[in-house]
Amino acid sequence: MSHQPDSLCRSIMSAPPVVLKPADTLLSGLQAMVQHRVPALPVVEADHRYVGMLARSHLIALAMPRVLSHEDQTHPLSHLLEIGFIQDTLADLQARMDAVANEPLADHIDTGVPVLEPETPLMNAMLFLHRQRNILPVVENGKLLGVVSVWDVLARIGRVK
Amino acid sequence: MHAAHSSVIFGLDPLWLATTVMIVTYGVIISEKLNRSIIALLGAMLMIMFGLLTQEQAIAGVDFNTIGLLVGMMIIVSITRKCGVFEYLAIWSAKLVKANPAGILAMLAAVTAIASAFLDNVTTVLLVVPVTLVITEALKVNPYPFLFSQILASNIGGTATLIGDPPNILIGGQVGLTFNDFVVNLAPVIVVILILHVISMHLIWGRTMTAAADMRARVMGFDENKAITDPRLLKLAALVLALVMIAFVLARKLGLDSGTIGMGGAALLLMLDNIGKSAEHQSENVLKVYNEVEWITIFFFVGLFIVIAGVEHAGLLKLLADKLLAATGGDFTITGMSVLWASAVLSAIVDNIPFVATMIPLIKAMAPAFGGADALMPLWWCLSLGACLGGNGTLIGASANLTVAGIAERNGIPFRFIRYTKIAFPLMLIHVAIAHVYLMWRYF
Repeated sequence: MSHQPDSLCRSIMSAPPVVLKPADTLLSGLQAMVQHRVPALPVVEADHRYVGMLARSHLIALAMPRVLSHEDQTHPLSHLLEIGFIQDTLADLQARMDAVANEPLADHIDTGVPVLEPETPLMNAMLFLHRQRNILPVVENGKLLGVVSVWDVLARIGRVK
Repeated sequence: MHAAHSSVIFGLDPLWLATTVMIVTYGVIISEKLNRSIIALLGAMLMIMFGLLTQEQAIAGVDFNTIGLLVGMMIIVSITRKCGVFEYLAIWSAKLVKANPAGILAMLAAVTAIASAFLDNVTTVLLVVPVTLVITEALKVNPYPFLFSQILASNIGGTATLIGDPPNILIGGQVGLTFNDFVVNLAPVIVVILILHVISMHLIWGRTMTAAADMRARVMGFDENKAITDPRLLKLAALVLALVMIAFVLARKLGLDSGTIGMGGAALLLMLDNIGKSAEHQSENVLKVYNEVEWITIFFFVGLFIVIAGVEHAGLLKLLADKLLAATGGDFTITGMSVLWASAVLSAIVDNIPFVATMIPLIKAMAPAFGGADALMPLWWCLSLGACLGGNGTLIGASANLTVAGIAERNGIPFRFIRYTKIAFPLMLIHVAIAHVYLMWRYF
């Protein structure tokens, strides 16, 4: 059974405001994210091949003690419950970011973000957006075609011009 | 001799069939090709399907005293940790030594060992290691020595009590030894080994550690009181833990088995933590706690108990016990020391839980040769000290070791088998040698 065109991701995807390259520095990634106010940006090779996403939550993690960004689900007991005991200041957070600012962002890419295809049913994208994803890459034959963001979808649903 | 054997499939020899099932099960456990809880359950299923055990006999083989103690303690810990007391202890101990890295190395080893005496080793390191990494990062010191030291401390500390380490839970549960039996017989030598461990860590790493004054000031600036997330829960958990400890100490007088005490404490703490909350909130809260019970370990134990019941039924363990007695010439001292050293070396290379679970019925079978069950007491201490301390020998010797190595690797701290073993194995041999001297002096 073929889908109605409007029921596919193709109909709601948009061009990402900017794409990053693996060789870009973390700082430039952070700046682009702040400038465009997006929660994540796609990273692509020179030939537009999709690599993964740089996520704001990862940038936040980089400014915190390292162990917080490496928590895993197999050991929930190892998750720190509270870090209010650490009296770090904004300067400490800046120092942590400064230490990694010039690293290429290649090592910080989230490759676990669900990837949509232009023919993916719209409802699949809706479910991801509902479950705390804000921006998802749309990839065809390995190349980045666009993104589906929560803003695109909300704008279309609410007929916001 | 046993009714079940008449129905063994194809009329095969039950002894050989059961032995084969056990060897294949243990082989796959060691190979780690399949999650250990799955293979243990499959082995258990084969024992029943092959007619080596009836389902009734299989269920009778599962030691629910041990399972109850394990689950009960897991529930108590899962609730207790929510109040942040472990973070509090780690930070408090670091500040006590003025954030001097060598002092912290010693203090965190002591905190780990003491916590591990009352909690499962894996749980202890899961709680202590993240705070350790926060502290070492603030101090800008190499975290490796701290993690290394905590692995050994957790396995050493766990040996001191009935509830500190799975081999002890197994021995205590199956032999009917009390909390006091373990403390009175094992804690003295464990204190000596722990002190030696702290000194050796200082000589190997601590004495050359330095941290800049401003880094130390950062750690001194940590506010441990902020780590306590729920003071009310902390009081309730402390109350229940105290009651559980009292019950353990008085277990014989109260006529209570350890499984009852563990599950009883869990039920009491669950009640105190949930009473007065809405039904929906209670379900959510309780489900979270149950989800933190390590079901892999529990199902692994259940399967393993049935596999061992299978070989025991088939007569293998009695046969092995006789062979072992023949090899040692029925000499009690040689038997004891063989159990100690064989347990230590084997536990360093393979999972000590299946080993201990097999050794228990095997040692029990020696009772007639040594003058009854009571005379076997020293052998249980040999088994416990060997199996628990031996786990320190290599990175794969105990679950706590692998857990720490996993967290370390994720945090960019290389934790390699050879590098670990080069230092840990000789230290383990020294610890077992101390245990040897202690056992000889006290019991043989």
